[in-house]
Amino acid sequence: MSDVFADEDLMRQFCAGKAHAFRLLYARHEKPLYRYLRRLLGSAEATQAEDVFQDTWMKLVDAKDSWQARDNASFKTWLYTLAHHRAIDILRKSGREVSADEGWIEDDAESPWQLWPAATAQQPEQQAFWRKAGQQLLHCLDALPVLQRAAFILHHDDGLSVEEITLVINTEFETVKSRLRYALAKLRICMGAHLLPILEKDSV
Amino acid sequence: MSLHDPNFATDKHLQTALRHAPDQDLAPSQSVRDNVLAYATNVVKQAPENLLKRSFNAFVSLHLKNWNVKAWQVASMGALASVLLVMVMVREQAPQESIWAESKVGDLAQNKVESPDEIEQKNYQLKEHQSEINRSAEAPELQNVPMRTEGSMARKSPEVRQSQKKSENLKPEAKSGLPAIEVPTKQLAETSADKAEAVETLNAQVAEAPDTAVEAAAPSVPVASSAPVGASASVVPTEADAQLASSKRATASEHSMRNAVIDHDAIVEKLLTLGGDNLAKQDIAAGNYHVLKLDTEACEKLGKHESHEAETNYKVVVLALCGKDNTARAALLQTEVGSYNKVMRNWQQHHNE
Repeated sequence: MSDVFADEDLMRQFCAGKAHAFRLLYARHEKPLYRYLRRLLGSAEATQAEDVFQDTWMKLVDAKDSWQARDNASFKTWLYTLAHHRAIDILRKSGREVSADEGWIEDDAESPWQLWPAATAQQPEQQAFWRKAGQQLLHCLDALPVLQRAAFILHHDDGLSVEEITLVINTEFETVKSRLRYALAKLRICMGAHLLPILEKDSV
Repeated sequence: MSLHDPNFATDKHLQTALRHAPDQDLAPSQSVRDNVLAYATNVVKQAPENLLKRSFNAFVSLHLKNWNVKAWQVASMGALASVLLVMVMVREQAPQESIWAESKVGDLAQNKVESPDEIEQKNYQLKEHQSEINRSAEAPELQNVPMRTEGSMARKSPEVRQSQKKSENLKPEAKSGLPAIEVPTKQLAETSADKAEAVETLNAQVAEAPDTAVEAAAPSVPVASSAPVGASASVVPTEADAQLASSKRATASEHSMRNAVIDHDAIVEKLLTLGGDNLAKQDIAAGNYHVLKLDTEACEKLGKHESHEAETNYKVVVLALCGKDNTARAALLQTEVGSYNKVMRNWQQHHNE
């Protein structure tokens, strides 16, 4: 039933005093938001994820009137904006570099995509491979700069468009686009370096 | 792949790997979930109480967020608030005494506090006025008048006394809870005025009847007082002041009775030096009406009023001479006493006519 209403409708009901609307919103965004925070903070600051998560929702509750003042504001974008800035504050306090690392890499880094199983047609025997790939991807994400990491996760996991990412990260459209390119290039190299031996071993 | 494509730069292999990551199904702890939901529920319950606040905040955020307050605007608002505060304080100030509500505006104006210069000026005028009265009177009885009023009333002008009297009449209970007494002040004023008038009348009579005046070569000393009396204080009684003198007789008799005991020896000496006639005239001028009686035996009755004389109804002052005087002195005194009593009786007889 919660899918019947859009996020914005539920938020309006919550602002009108209906607490159950907030429960639906929370249930809908609980795991994705928590996951985003875990991955953005990385393994080093994973323990802070719950605190940032709780602070984000409480801040959202307190600022619901200011959300009402915005016309046609996307609830999801607003929620992730609050969470992103809170996480960036934690990373800054911990001394991690959060500025953009735009180091140049070869855009078309060689990756043996042709050896990998089809991403859209997963079979049970391929689940083990993808689980290893997922675990390896988390390690590769830790190696990315924070803002490239954020752009990649928001786009590949949470499904935000480039325009929405510009709102969350509060940067220009071209900046988001370049960060996505850098992130993809680095991750392909990182993933290929670890998964290629496995694929070659399996193929043998 | 277009830049505006939502799937721009989406790597399907990386996306599939991300969805198979071990943290895919992680969720926050149950305590975090409970805290968030409880917090949201409490805010919703308190929302009706903060409806006005939320409306104000929304108004401010929508309309006033771009309003940059200037320094002169703050100063203007502060000045306006101060003026309003002062106006309210002046308008709403409660009276400190309940008597304010009962008193009239005119009375309050008369009860104004005078400056020290004004009080000093009025004191000077009062002293001048009293000195004038004393000079015109030149009688020892009148010289005692300022002594009676030498209290707080004597230092104040008639305007001050009138103001104080009205103030006392306005709030007798507010001051001491006792009823206000204004009789002494009034009596003092009347006594002073009447006595001054009597002395002036007597002086005028002296001027009109010089044939009856008695020369006083030596300084005159009144019977009732040790204060000096002027040489022109000879008195001849007339009918014009008979009624006034009669009204003051009782007061003068009391005064002479009070001083008779004290000045007993002085009476004897003045009888011998001035003579009975002159002393009687001085006493009449001073308002001391009595007759004298010599008694060579009643030593314990010195200077006391023994009785009233039947003929004049004047008090009899006994001059006891037991063991003090010889026969010759007693005879002389008896002669002077006779002269003294004769003048007194003539005065009384003339007054009765």
